[in-house]
Amino acid sequence: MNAALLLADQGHRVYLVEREARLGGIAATVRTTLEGDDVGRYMSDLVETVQSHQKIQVLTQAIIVDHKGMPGRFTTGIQTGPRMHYMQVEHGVTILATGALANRPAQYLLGEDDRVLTQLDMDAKIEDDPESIRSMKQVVMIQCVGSREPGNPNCSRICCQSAIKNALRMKALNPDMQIYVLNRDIRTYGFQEDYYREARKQGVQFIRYEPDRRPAVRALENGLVVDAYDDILGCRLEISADAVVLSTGLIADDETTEDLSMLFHVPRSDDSYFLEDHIKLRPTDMSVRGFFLAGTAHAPKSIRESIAHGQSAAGRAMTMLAKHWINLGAAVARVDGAKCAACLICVRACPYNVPFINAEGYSEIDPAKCHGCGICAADCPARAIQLMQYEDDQILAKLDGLFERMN
Amino acid sequence: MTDAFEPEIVAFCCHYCAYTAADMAGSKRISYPPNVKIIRVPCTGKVDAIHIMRAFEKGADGVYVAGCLEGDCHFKTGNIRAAHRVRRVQALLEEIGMEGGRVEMITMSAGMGERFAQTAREFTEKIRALGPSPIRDAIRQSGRRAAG
Repeated sequence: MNAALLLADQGHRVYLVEREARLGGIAATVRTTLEGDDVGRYMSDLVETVQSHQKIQVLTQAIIVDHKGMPGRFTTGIQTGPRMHYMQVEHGVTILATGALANRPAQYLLGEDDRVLTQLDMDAKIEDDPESIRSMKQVVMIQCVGSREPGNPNCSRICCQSAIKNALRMKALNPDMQIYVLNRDIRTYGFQEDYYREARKQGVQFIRYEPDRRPAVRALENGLVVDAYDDILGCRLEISADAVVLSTGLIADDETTEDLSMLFHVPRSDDSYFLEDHIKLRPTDMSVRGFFLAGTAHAPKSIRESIAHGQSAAGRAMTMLAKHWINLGAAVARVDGAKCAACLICVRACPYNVPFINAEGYSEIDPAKCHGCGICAADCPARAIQLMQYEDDQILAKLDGLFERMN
Repeated sequence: MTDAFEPEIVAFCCHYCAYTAADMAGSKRISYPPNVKIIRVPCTGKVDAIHIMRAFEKGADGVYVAGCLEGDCHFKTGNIRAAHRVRRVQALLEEIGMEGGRVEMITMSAGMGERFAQTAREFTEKIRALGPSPIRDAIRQSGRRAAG
């Protein structure tokens, strides 16, 4: 939404395609950040601004059904609304900001016992039902639930800060409450470290556990009991708790990223997030030109980081939209008319139906339409086609160079 | 020069998947054998039989073509064409009395840094077991003759 707003403010028409009936994703359910920002207010303002913006058309309950074209001139078919009305949109660039899902693994009695919550549930409970927090005496938080383990090996990045956020808020409501945070590591990076220190100062207990000695949660009639092993004390602990809060973090929206990666031919990482073109040098661009990436569709991120990523995507997209011309890559196939026998092999081989036999009787490839895969060059029996930057001579010279020392 | 056999392997990697996977292996600090030398191509569909044969002619002990997973090719069907071509080169190698297994088609996605390193290790071990390519021996002998 931030990317859309930035681009629209600069005069570009933006189609915001949302799968759900409302905008906002997970952020719309978050109440506050560690730094104390009022997320609810921010989100409702943002949604309002986006929806009333003259240059933004919001399509809700929408799914992408087809896609073609080239950078600067894509055509995407979208089915939208309860009636699944089909429409085609012409657009110059695409920003993928499909988000991630809140993870809810069935661990530690989550879903079985309503005294076991996620940090997201607790975030809402603190705001909606502060009385229940005031009546609690002991709360246990368990970190890294469903992440940093086989199946979802990445760190969800946001859990440590949301645990400390909720711990501090609970302490503010009920200073006598005892809070235990069972963790594998605490990663409150950057200035968030101050909040971690503050939590320790206020008496929040941080206890480390190893993945092969996980804590266990038991439900009793009058409360929950958490069994844990303290590495430092070297002994087992039994902590009774009025509530257990699980830091479950985010998980990639596998279904969505799979569908979209098939449609747009964009790559995904091992854990089903979209993959940027280069982890350090091009963190917002995708390997397919004209595609940009923002927010948690790329990897777990905090709200502030997602906004920054969205702004970055808008900035990168502007570099294409602001120009009247697009320089296409020079890696395109070129036909040597004198060698071409007009055998039609390239015409059949091309995945994009670019080559055709021209009036002079040889194959012609429009460099603006050519995607530069080189399939025709490899298939051409007369070797009449060369892919610029990957000419046969170049590849053979590379091989010669590689084996020079042996020959 | 010691006589311990170190295979020389050429990997033709497509820009969108295998080459990115190699990059990923690098960023994840996963090591793979230095025997594998990568040549980047836009798509495995670009790899011609002549490129693979030239590698063997120059003394490669093994060649593999690494592209996207089936159905994931950035250029729709380049990897399927490459797989066909690799099969044809395998038949050609058999015909001239070499092991067809010295050339292989491998697929992976861009995020599979671990798989890239693992296939590089497996292929290197496979070629090590097959021993030096007869062409490489012939090159060395003719080199000695020329020197002598």
